[in-house]
Amino acid sequence: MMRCHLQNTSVSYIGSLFAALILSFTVLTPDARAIPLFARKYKTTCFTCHVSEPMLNEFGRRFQANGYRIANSEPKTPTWDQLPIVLAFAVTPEVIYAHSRDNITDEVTDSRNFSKYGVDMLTAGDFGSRLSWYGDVTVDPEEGAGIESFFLIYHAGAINFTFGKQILRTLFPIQFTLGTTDYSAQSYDSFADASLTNTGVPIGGINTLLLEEASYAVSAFGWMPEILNGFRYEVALTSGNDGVDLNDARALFLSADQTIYYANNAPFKVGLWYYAGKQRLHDQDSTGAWNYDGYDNTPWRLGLGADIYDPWVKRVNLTGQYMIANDDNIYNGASFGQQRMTGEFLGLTSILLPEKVYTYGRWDHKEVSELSLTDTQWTMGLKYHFVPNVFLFGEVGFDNQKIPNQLDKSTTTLSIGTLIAY
Amino acid sequence: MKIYSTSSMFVVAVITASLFSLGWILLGGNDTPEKADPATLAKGKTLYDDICATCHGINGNGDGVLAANLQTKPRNFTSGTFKFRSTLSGQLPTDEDLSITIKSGTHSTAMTTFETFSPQQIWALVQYIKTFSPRFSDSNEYPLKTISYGNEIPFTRESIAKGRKAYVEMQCNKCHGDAGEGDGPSAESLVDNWGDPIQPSDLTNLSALKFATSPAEIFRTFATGLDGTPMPSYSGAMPDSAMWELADYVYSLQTHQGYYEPIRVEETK
Repeated sequence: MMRCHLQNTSVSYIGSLFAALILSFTVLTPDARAIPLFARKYKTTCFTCHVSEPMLNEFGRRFQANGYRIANSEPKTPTWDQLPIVLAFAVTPEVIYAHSRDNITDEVTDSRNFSKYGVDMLTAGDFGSRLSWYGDVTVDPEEGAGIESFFLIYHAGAINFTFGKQILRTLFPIQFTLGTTDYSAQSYDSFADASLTNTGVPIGGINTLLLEEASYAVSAFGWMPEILNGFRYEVALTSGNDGVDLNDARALFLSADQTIYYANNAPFKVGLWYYAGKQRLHDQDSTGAWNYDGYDNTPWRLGLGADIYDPWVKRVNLTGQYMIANDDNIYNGASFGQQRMTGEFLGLTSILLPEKVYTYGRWDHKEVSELSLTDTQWTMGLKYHFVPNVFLFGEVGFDNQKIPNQLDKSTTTLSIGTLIAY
Repeated sequence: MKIYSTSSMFVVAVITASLFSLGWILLGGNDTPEKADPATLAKGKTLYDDICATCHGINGNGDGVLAANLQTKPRNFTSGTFKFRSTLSGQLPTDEDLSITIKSGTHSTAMTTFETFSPQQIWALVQYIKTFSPRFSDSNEYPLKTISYGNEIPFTRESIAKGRKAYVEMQCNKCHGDAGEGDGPSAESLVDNWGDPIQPSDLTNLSALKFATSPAEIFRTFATGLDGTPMPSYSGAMPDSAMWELADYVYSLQTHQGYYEPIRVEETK
């Protein structure tokens, strides 16, 4: 049977490349989620929780795992005159230059982009000792306004129950990546990759399933400090994302990681997470509406990661993750079937001058077996903090996407930007 | 130019401190060499290991994983040397001193406020922190002697002017700079007892100062010194009245009262 979600759209090969380029820029733009909201609330600096924003340090991870609270504390409901401790803002102007080369056709593309001066508003606070809220609203001239996440947390001792739109808490949550480039495996979009070689595969829209994006979810997570040096867990039922409602993409998400101070107070962390569910697939009709086409994808994702600090000066942090993603009912050029991605990254962050200068680098790699697609990405960056909540960053990225005899595209990206948060 | 009286602030501070002390006494303040009961220590250890050890280290050495990324290094508890105290220079802090630091945090550093902790939790933490240094169980260290505040003088133009004179005479400007901005000639070379670089405070920047929200708090710093840092105690080196004048001057710097009138600055030199 011919599947309609192949027929209803006609996207050319060049168009697919262009769309992939646009998508890559979308994921290259930074999220301004490092906002000194909790710093104000707890009368401290950003470095209490961050190595350098947005990357969390050990205290920040514990704070997050405790439901965005210091363990065992009993906060009170803020009064109206305390608005600054429940509302904060950040702007991230950035200049991006990208140079792309198609190694098959020798076609070269240059682009310059001044973006994005979007404003991120973060709010979090407490309704008494048991209930709190967390919200992140983006107002961006390019992308419009939108609620990135908003959820309620009910604190029941060591367990926190959440309800609302939220990003799943993997070992390396994508919003806490140091730098402007997302992890290529964790931001994997099966349909976008399938579209690189096959016309007719709808990109984005209702079929997009990105772990980096917030989902409507109910979740239970917590922190158990009594197990070695701390055990974090999360169990969530989630909806998928990007406008897919709870009926159309239901999934179970499990995540756990264990921390141990292996030597000289240096932590080693190892974690596992798993996502599995059912996604109803949709096609776009001539009016532009998306309709369920009667077929389902049963995606699953599995990640295994580790994080370690050097035991001598504790200024060097090494992270790594291996991930598998499996989808089905995706067009592979001949038929609809399974599409599997395996990917990994290795990242290194170094503190050059405390509270001032940081450098980082990362190698990302992914392979999509059915498409014979390989994607290798290198990024290196430098950050300078004028003050804790104002910093300048520069990053160099190199990405190569390759499909034998079809695609060989290299992109070099330079970005310079700043984050100003209040 | 209006000069504000701080006597009412001082009264409020004294009442607050008295109430806190009363509560502390009722809870069982323990400024003696005896260790707290095992249940309290166990509770303190659980809290410490989870929250404090990320900076101060599991063994209290101040070498937690965050320490390498902080300009103001976390306290090494094993030496029993503490900056913020009500006791004479070189002495241990009281339990109340430690509890105030935990509760209020130390402004402009990564030491956050733990004001949402219950008094029992803070009590347990204080008792556990004291186990890191043998000084706390040494009977020779007790009884602890707290500083005397003498008689506070009114905060006036005259007290500020005299304080400015004392500032120069006591060579505070060598570290804190002529304008009090923390940029004196010695500023760059200062290190603490552990060899870590330490920056003199910018006295004109309230948000950079710790425990300096009133002349009384500033007086306390002059009287106790900041043990473990190059900031000495001035007890005995100058009379209490002169320390109050100096405190008034420093307070005027952060509140920008008086100092920026160039004529008087010249007069006081």
